[in-house]
Amino acid sequence: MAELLFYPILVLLLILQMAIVRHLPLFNGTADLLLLWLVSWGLQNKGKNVWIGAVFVALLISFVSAVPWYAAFASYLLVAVISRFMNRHFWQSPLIALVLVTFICSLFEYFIQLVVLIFQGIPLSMFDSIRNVIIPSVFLNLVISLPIYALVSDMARWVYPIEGEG
Amino acid sequence: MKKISTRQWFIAIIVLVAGGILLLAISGYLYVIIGKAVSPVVSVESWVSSRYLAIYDFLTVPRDVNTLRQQNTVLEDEVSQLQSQVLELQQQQSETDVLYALLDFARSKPENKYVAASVIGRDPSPFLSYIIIDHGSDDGVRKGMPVVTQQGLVGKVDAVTATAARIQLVTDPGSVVNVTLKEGKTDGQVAGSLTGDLSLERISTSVNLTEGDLAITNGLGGTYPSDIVVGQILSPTKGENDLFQTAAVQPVVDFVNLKAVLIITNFTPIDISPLVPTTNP
Repeated sequence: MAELLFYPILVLLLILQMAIVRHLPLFNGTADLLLLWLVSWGLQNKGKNVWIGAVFVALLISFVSAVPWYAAFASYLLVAVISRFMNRHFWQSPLIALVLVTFICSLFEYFIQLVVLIFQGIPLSMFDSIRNVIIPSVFLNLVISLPIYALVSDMARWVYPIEGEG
Repeated sequence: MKKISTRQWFIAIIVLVAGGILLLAISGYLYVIIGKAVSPVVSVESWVSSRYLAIYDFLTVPRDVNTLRQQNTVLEDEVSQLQSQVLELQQQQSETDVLYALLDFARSKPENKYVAASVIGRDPSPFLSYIIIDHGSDDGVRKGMPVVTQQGLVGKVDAVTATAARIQLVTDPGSVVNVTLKEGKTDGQVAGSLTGDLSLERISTSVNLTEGDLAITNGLGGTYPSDIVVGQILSPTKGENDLFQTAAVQPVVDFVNLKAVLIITNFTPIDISPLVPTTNP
């Protein structure tokens, strides 16, 4: 039950994302705090419920963003799947898993958004998108993933034992 | 004759000597001697006094430190309260400035009805340029309504909830605004881009574009009312074999520091999409 604490945190992260992080771009790219939280959650040994978090985040993003809902669902569910897969296969080296999953999931997320928006008829140049948005965003995600992973790990140590006792 | 006694002589001499010394002192002849005589006394006095004060301080310092610490805490508290008040007032001042500017703009165009709203966030996707405002359908905001500031066109309402709305900025890559050039007397389109830059498109190569010319909405398409400033022509580009020429446009609105906007609520956008011909495969 203590895992429910993650949901208000995800809402808080969305608010931070919209109010602050979007004002701190690198070129035109920005970090995605929600994706990073899901990645860190999925990489926890007991983070098997991350897919519920992914659905929750996708719902939130669908509600506030102009990005089509199916792009948000595809992106964040993929984050859940990849992070759980990596947790099983890289359980002895979580930092390598973190960097790998952040890199792969960020690329997937932004490419999914880009392709969906292009299919919607928005004239986005693939080269400009990669240069100005995707590469800077992935870089920012990689940089910020470490402190967020540390935060989630600390919280997980506090959250999951409570569940074990109950 | 009565003989003067020795004692009387003695008193008289003392009085004379004292009077002489007094006269010398009054006339200033004794300053050097008095100074030399008093100096050791002053030294001793100051030495004793300083030692006394040192001992007094030593004995009373703990009490004073506590008092000072308490006073310091109270003062620090007061300073932080005043600082937060100053920040609050500065924030209010800045908001008031923005609102006054918006009010001036609204007064200058009394034919329009406005709803003022604060910008509370931006779309989480870095590909899109949308903002979120704190007014929604409860305040009369509807989808498609144009959004402006005192500087010029901001965009249009894209989605609405009861208490909030999402605005598509003119800098969004999916945004196209029909404009007329004020001096060039020609129509064109201002399109947004991924980087937030605006570009003027669909301008015939026969038209001479001049830097600094203003691009204003012309009302074509029914999406925006006419005569709202969008931007200023910066650098026209004309290729030899191109059908149209293009130009970079400097937006008049500072989209990075956008804090408050006005929604024009008495403008009903016209949906012309059923009239747009579609190509069948």
